Amino acid sequence: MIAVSVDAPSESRDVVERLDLPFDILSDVDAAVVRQFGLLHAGGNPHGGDTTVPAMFLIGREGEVLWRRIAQRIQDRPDPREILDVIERLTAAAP
Amino acid sequence: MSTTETVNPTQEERVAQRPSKAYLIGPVLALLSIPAYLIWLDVPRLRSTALQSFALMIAGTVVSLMTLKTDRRRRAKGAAIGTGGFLLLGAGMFFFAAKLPPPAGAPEVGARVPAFTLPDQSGQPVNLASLYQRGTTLLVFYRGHW
Repeated sequence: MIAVSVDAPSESRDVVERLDLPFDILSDVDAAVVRQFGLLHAGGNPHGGDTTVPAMFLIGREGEVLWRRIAQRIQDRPDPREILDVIERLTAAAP
Repeated sequence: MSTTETVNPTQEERVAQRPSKAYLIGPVLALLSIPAYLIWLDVPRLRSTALQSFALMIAGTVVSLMTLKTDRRRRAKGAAIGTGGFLLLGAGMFFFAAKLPPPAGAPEVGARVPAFTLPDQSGQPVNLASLYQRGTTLLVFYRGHW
């Protein structure tokens, strides 16, 4: 699992340390990768500037998208149990 | 005649004379929807749907309208209008103001993801392909913290 945000690495380091996260957070400060993935939310950051539409992609070994979920509203959050179910189902079918 | 029968009417009269505060129940219920949303912000289902908050706003509006049957004062009418308006405002913010732009060319299921390398929280460059080549990878885009 890997996360991406538009925060600077130092901000992400604070988040990783504070929440003791077992995964890394990548910094896409100019939202270039966010744009590549078609997820730009222009002016979506309350401090001004752009941010990302919240989204998740489950990626297979060939770089293919196995499953995706893209938020339609700011508050949309997929249930972790649903994500775990999807991962279990897909990895059981093709490990 | 028992003593209770002579005492009771005076108590009831006193209750009737006291201005009823019941018209405040609806607005209070509706306002509780805000802390109710914030308390359960970490529960994905409640964050995504705000079920508990809409239940409180709807209950507050119903209670306010019921209060109007017995309380015809302007303040009771104002409370009912305010509570109903709050429900409409809440629904508007939740369903419309929070709408995000639709994904523009995001990779579909079955398509290849774009290649990228980004620095992690320590500044070390991480290549996406190096992760998924080792095994199925969940890539999460989130809005950052503030």
